[in-house]
Amino acid sequence: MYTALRLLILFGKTSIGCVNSPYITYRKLANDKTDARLVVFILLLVILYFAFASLVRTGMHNPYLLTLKFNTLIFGAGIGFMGMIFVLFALGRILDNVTTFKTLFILWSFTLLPTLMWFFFTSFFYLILPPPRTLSILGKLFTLWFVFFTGAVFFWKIILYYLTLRFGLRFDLFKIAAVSLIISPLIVSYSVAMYRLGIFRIPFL
Amino acid sequence: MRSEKTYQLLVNKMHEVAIVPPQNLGPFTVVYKKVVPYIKFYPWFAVSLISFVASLFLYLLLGSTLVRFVSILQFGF
Repeated sequence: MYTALRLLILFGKTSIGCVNSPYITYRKLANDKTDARLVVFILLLVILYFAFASLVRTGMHNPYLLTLKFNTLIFGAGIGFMGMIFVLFALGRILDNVTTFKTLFILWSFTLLPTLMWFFFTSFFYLILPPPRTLSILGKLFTLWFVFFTGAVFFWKIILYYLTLRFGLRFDLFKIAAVSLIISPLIVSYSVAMYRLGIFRIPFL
Repeated sequence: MRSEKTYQLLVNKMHEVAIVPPQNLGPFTVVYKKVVPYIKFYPWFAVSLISFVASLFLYLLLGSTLVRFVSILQFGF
């Protein structure tokens, strides 16, 4: 119980650090002594989100469809999450970088914070302000706010992605750019596959 | 005893800071060093500013198409 509470406080501090000082936070997380159990809280948040999203999408009337939706979302996200870590790990090994799978796993897990934030807020606003948006003043104001919010979360995600490669694989900017060029088509392929399978319209990465 | 502990703390900190070598981007290193502090500490300020300008620019560029795009994004979760 005490350990769980300690880890929860540490997770809270690390999450705030990812917002306020991501560079220092990621540098600390890249340390071999970092407790990998911190990731459990992120995975719990992911499960919580998928339960919420399944409820919003399919409702409570059909438990079978609800379970099916929940499982497909977990399956799709799991493939994307582990796939990214394996690809990054393999590229790190190919480019002769000394990295551990554990470090990469922890760093990449924390990049899910912006993803979770975007998906939670979007689901929430889907409930309170269901689309489509109109061309009224309020519709346009919401559009501006939503684009602003999406952009801010996206830039935050890019920063955490950069820091994962910087501290996880110890790459310089040129190598990060090269690796990103290799990864981009894979991300696009994954996104298209998830869309065609009806799992995600926006990839959960 | 106390100085040994302080020494060990300093060594640990040095190892943490030296986990990656400094970036060397040739002639662009100066630009990199000027830009990076905005991302290292309280990046939400720079990120919010960029995002705000980008959203205004996109609205001026796309107009009502952006409103339709947001409607599609709202179904995206």
